Amino acid sequence: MFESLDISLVNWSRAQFALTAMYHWLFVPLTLGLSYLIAIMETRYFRTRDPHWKMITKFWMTLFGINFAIGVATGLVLEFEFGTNWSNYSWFVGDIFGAPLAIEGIMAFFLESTFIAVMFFGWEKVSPRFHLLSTWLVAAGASLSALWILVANGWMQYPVGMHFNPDTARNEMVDFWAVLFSPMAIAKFTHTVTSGLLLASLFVTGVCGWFLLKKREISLVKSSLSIAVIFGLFAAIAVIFTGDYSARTVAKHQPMKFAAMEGLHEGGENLGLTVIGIPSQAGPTRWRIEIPGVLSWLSGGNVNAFVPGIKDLVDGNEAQGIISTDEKMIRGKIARKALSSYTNYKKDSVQTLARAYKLKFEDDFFLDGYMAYFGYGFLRYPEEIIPPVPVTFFSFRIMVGLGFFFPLLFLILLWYIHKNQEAFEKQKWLHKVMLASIPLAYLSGECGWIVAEAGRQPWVIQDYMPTMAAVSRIDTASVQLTFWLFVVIFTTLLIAEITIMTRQIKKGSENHSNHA
Amino acid sequence: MAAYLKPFTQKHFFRKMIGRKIFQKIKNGVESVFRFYLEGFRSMTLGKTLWVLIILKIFILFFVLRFFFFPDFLKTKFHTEQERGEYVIEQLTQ
Repeated sequence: MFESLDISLVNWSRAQFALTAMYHWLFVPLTLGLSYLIAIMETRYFRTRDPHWKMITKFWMTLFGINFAIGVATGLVLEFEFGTNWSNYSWFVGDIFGAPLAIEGIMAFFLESTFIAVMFFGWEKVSPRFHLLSTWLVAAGASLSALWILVANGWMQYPVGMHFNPDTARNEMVDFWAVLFSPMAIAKFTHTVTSGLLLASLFVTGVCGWFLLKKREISLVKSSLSIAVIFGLFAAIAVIFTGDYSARTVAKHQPMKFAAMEGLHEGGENLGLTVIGIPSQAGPTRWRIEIPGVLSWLSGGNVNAFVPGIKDLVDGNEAQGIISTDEKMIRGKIARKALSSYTNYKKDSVQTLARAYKLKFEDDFFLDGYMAYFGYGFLRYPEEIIPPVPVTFFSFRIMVGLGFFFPLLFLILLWYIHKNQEAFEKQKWLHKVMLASIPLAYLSGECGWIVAEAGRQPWVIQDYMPTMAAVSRIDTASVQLTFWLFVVIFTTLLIAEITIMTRQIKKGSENHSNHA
Repeated sequence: MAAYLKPFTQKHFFRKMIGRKIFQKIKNGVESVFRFYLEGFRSMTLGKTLWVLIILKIFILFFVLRFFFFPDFLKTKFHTEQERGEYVIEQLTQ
């Protein structure tokens, strides 16, 4: 049946999901990070009762409000797509995906929406203490709602804590804590949230850079930078550490993605970390510049650790205990056949055989040895498990390169601010770099998601369900139509965001005694 | 009307049930929350533009896209959970 599947339907469905997810991610990290910066600024106001800090808090709060208002509900589109374009997937994941999303929705609504109203309307209506608490709760609420969606994403990358029910073809959650605290969920949450904090710090820094270029709002700039630079530096360092943890987790649980990130075709021991090179989908990376031994050390904890390459994962490596993809495909097909046989025997009321097949789905040997490779049963040839190597490789390098550039920028700013304030105000090149760091921060975040999502192809659920099996059998033309509709809607929203945001920034701190 | 529903139809049933003082407190609380939002919305400047955007966006997303372009594939094609499950099993095993 999958041989007859229109591949353009899969590609258009993927393109649509990628488009909406990437647009959604333009709004989310700023909401995540800026909420904390505002909370810190308001805490400063609460402690000093200096109206200057109140004005600064209100200025950034207005920009936060614009981003929140335009970005809100853009994520719901992804949920529409699950039901329409990815119905097999939505059914197969069952309550594992549904439960975190439901919690996310409730938390987002009650925590964020309720306290955002207090944040914007409550300056003169509630006590300063309650207002501050509300601002912190908005920040916490944003992070909490991110937690649940990232837990769901982490499960797709490393499915744990579930049991497959052959009667319904759904995965049922048997261990909520295993899902919540899976290493992949922890890696996803910590790396994503810290990257949001970093992006928001760069946003504040960039806007300050623009004011400095225009020689305006110097007092607002000084105060804002005094918080954003230190906060940003800590966030940037945290991003490096969480990124390292994330990469180690990927190396352990998604070795093919890790090999694609490195453009590593031949595995081995004592391998070097590729700084840059020209990767290829089929052959080794050319013109590699590497740091010797570091890749083995980073992924396995010592320089002699074995790192599997694409070839090892496709062909297998007996010495390292890696099963070949051919073997996994055979096991996957046996698991699919077992599901088919069970369904048929049940339908034909052959009770004894139906019961025998059902027992297989409760037997650990079958679950670990065959069902764990269920998704491989859909593949036509072993090389299908290789993700797009150049895309993953370059996205990873852009993200990591920028990830090291940002703390450097904050260190330079910290030095100038604390040692040479006067000279800082004259460094136009630095102000331009600050401003340019805003799009660079977004680029870095988007590249991170490309690594995470393109790098895990062909899987929609790692090892259990390939993308082609997840898609609904709908008309390709309708997916194309909605793809272009989304291009129009989201681009309009982005233009509205940039227009309103820049207009508000140009106004500066004027009129910030009024409501947003 | 069923007998057990009668007490609920009595005048000021809720006020009698919880007592006048508590009722008044709840009433004042609800009123002040309502006033809080009302005054907040009234005094908005930029917020009004943003609310227009939010409402327009939600209308397009929920009432146009959701209804016309994004029906739930399995729910529209099948009536029961069992039928949906059978269809997906068929998809996964063919």
